[in-house]
Amino acid sequence: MITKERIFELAGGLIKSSPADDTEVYFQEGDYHLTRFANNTIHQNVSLTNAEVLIRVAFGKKTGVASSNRLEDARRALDEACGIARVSEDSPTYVGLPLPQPVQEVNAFDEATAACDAMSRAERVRGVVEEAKRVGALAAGALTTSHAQTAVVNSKGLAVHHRGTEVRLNVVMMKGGGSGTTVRLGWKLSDLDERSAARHAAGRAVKTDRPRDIEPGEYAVVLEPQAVGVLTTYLAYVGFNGKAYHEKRSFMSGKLGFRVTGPLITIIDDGLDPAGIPTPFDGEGVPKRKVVFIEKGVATGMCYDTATAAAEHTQSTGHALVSSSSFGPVPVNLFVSPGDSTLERMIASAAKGLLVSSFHYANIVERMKVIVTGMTRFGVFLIRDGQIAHPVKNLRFTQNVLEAFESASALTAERQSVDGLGGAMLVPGMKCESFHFTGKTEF
Amino acid sequence: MREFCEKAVNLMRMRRASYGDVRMVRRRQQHIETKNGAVESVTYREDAGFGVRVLVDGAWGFAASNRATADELSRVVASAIEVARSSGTVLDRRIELTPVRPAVDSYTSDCAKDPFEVPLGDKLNMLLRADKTLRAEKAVTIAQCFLSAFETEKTFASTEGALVVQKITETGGGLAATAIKDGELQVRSYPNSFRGNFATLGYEYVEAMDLPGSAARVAEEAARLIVAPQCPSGRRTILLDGGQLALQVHESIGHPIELDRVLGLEAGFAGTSFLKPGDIGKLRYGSDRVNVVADATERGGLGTFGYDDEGVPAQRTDIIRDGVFRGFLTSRETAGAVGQRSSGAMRASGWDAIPLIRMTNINLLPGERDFDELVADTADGLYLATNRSWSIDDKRLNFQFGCEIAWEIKNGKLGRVYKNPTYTGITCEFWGSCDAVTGQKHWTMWGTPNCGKGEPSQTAHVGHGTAPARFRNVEVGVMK
Repeated sequence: MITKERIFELAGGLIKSSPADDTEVYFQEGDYHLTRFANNTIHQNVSLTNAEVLIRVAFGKKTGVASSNRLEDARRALDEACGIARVSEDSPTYVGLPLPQPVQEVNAFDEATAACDAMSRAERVRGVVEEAKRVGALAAGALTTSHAQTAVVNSKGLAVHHRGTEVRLNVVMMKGGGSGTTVRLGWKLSDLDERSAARHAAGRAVKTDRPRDIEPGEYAVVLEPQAVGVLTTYLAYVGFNGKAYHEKRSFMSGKLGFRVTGPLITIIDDGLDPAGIPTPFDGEGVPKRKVVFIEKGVATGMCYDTATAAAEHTQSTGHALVSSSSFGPVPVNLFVSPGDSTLERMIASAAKGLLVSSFHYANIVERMKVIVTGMTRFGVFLIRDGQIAHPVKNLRFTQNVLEAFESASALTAERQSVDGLGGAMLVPGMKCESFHFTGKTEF
Repeated sequence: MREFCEKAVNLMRMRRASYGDVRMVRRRQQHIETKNGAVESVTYREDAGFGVRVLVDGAWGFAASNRATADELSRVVASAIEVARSSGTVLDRRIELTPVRPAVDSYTSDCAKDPFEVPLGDKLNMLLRADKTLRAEKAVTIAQCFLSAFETEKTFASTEGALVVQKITETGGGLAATAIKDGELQVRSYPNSFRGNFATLGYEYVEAMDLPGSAARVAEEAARLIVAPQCPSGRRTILLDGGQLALQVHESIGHPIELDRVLGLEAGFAGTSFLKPGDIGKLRYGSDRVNVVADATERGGLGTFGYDDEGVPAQRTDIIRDGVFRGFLTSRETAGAVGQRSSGAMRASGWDAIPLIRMTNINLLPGERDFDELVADTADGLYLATNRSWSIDDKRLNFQFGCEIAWEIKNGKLGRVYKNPTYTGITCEFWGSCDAVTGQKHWTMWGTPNCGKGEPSQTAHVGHGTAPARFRNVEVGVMK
């Protein structure tokens, strides 16, 4: 990888030679390694090296964006961006590039993770497969390690750089008609206990073998963190984007200060919290600020990039995508506040309900009401009289997420990192007193 | 590119890979979006690199880089070999490839008008004219117009002697009118949702869409939708338009017939399939009106090419004939599991990705009915158009789709508009309820440029030819 100084030198040279009024250079470079397994065998195994220089320019309010993944073509990308901007029309939402601001350094780089080789990943996968074989299950999943550096430099004097590592392991175990899963996310390989993750998934696969049929309908549910993560993802996707808010496409539009969920729900984004995968600045180089979206059920905030912040007469919260994408700002470091319960206590408190491990292939049905549909996956259990009775076959849910969170009656004290909106999110388990299952499948 | 690929092949042979291939790819793409009378974004992206895939002792390794230098090539080949050796340490079964005759050939997709040569000003002018017409309707809160162009040049070479050079140009576009009122949001799109329709053709394809000429109807339908009543629930006869039917084919036929899913190779992420290798020739997938092919040779399809990314020639194969399941999408690695050779369905999203089994053009063949005659023949039903949401279980059985708009059909006539229509079903039951497919004059190729699969996630461009069709006794409106 090239040095931070060389990146700044390269970007500075481009900016100096740019004829545009404003020029922004976004640079990313990294190595990405993924060892994928299925049927207890490594079947796909990749090692990638790539870089990208992405240039945004503006002549007045006429903007253009161009990129190349070859540093030697960076000048050509600048010319292309200028060519686009010159013949384009004014973009009313463009309000200029952000000014430099102090950026808090965050430590999310681990040398051992960056140096992890294919044989080391295979060794950890072997551990997962051994746990599968121990219970007669088939393991599938992937172990990823990556190392990337990012820099943003602009013609207003902004120059920021960050280097980080990431680790992700997802494990799926299948045994007969049963299945289980675990995901582990972080930035330090030494924190990963792949055998423990594998044992959890394998145990669930054993317990969910031979699921029984069950009729869809309204149930109380105990949602494990992965299921909570899916619902939170869709809530954030349609609701927390400052652009959607400004255009009145968000369920939060006109609702700030009003109650939107039950009082147990607090959702924040914090790019600096070391419990997640911290990143100090966004795609425009603006420092990450903590945003509280929902506090004890009340809508309190929104995330912004430079353009959407100006439209709402506020400050960017540091949530821009690269080159202030037309999609608008996105919260990639979400946290759902914990409660004081445990999954066991939640199960014990349910006269009749379902324990749901995870959801699969969810999608928005009605955006403004945050109605989401999807399937259960990796284990559903019937709870009867406070105890797990038996595994059941997968169900389709079609549910207003706000109403589900309105009915939240308990959250676990312990939280788990799960996949979020392009990053990791830390979420607890949740008990909802009412959840709508609208269909069923055959397994 | 050719010389570089030949060097890569020599290095793989020297390092004793039992099989190796290299793909050198250069891609460029342009995306234009207008919104409410202004330019929302214009982006141009170019990337290039190469990927090396090797088999060592029956195990796969892949490495790729954006730096096409001699030193980097040596490093990447060595890395791929090392990765393959590590794969071999956790291997239950050695991989064997079914044979293919090494091709030495070139292919260029149809493109009458290079979309990258059309002046940006002309494109913006066309989009802004459409935008203005959309906004002429007062109920339209957000007007959006889109154009996209993609060009991919790739050279494939293998240690078996294949050398294939391809250039593929794709173009697409569309528009969307959003109406927002009293906390309700409705979108109407043309010619399809999620940025329009796409084809392996040049700019002539977008010109033929006539976006400015279609905008008034789209805006008027958005205005009708925002005040329309909720679609009623219940078991109904439904007619699906071609765009929605394309996604129905995609999710409930295209994905379950991928043999890697069937064999469990995607179990860690997207899931498996309800199909089994032994289902060929035995399983009744749908009614005898349902005939489906995988056709990578269909002109203009977004899944049209000369050779797949294993150097296997583009093919047309039977998937469903007269309702009976006939065959899978396969690769050289998987085809042996069903006693066949590759159907030519292995594609990678770029130089930095391994090829996976991907849909080509999965086409529902046209029937013989006329659309107006089919409506006239429907006493009581709904006509649903343009996809809005989709979801299906991990074996591809239970699905639920939402559409942008529904029209009531009463006594053979299209009537009132309903909002928020959804329908749900189980794959083979649903296709079994198909009692009519309209004819060739209604048949259209639909391009899906956002098909996700694999880890790291790859986005493929795939196609679906469909004509509107009728289904009986379908559960509609699951949200009561």
